[in-house]
Amino acid sequence: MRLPRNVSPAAAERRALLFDALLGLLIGISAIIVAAGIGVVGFIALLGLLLVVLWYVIEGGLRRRQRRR
Amino acid sequence: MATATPTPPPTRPRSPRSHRRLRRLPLWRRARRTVLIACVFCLAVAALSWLPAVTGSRNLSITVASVEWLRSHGGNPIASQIENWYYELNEPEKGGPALTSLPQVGGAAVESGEKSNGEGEGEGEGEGPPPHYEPAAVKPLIQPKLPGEGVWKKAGAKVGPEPPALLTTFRSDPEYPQFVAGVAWLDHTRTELQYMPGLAEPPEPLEDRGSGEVPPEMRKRLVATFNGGFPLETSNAGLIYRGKIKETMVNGIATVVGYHGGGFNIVRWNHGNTVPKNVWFAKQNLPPIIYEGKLNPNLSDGPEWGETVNNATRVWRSGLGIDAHGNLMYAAANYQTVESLAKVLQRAGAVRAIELDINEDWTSFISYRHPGGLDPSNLLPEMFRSPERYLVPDERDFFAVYLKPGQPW
Repeated sequence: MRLPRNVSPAAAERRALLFDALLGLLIGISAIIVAAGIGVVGFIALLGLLLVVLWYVIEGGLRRRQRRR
Repeated sequence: MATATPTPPPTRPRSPRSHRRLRRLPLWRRARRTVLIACVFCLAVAALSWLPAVTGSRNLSITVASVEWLRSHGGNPIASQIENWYYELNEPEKGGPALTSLPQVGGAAVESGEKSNGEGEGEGEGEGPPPHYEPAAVKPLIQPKLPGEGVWKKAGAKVGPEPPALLTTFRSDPEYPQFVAGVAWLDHTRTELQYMPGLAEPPEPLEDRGSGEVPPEMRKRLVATFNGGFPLETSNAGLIYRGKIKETMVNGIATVVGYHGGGFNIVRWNHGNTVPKNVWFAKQNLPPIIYEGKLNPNLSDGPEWGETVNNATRVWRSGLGIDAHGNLMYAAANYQTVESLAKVLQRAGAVRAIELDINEDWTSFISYRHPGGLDPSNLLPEMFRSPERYLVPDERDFFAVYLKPGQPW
């Protein structure tokens, strides 16, 4: 089965989100299997989450600032 | 033939905002989103393990329980590294104002019960029963000495002329004159030592774990309790409990041994992974820090000390020694390196010694001023854990010192 090529931008975005989610889960499962323990995974994931959230927050702040100008 | 061309449905003009939303995301944004999803998934899985560990742990703060969980789930090197950074950043400065007094310890803190053995060995003289041995006062390192420095005091209130436990404090390091070490001495002729498992340490499976506290029926003979050494996972050493091997015993490692009948010793283990007939319990923890009266020459950092805070890092440390007469000596103090701790024990008279726990969360020596586990007090006032620690279920293993049956208080 082939996925339709000509899809609306919204459908393409949903498809990309699904792909990213599956890839994220795959990376997570691989990390859990490979790591020395779930403690290490949790610790690194917490750091990663904080960094990414911080990144989003800073980016959002910069964008709002630009829009105000 | 006329063909009807279908008229397209009217479309709403798109706002610039929705245009922006439907634009293809750049690759780096998608990568970031993927990482976020992976992190959330991993955290959710980790939380399934962390939550029961934190909510189910007793006698521990959420921070300490979380660090313990991290250590026991593969994160021991991470936790140790972070601890090292923290302690290096908070290293104490040398010198500083000199102390004018020492903390009051033992029964003397509530009643004037100082043991008068200021100088020399306290061997009794005269006729009658064999002389009762008491340790010599610890010679102060810093002059002038402070009142009561190095002088042994009875741990219990209203004890007889042969106290089962004595306590003292002294300034242990001339470079850091504000630091005070606490030392306890336990008479082997009057006391016996028991190894008590905690609720989580040693880990399952373990037969006859007990309730993680001093059993109420044993409290009438309770003299003292103290921390039991590193978790097995951290020390990579062995444990014999109730005559059975719980964790593989390692030759060459310092071992607190309890014998059938209540006797005890500190030895360098050389029986391999077997249980000698007379051994009731044996807890190992790192190489000996003092052996045959001499400091271990490798007290500086090295792999033989396990995945712990660097040996040279100044933290709360505790150790257990044995003197030339077979009496136990426990020492603890803040801002100690392994070497300075070993010197404290050696100065107090220990000829063999083992390092026990480090960090303020684990270092506890509690003596009981009255029979029945009543009026407990920490060896040093700044010890972090409650004096009630071992009278309620605790996570970690510990040692309990009881009067031998029939011995008067």
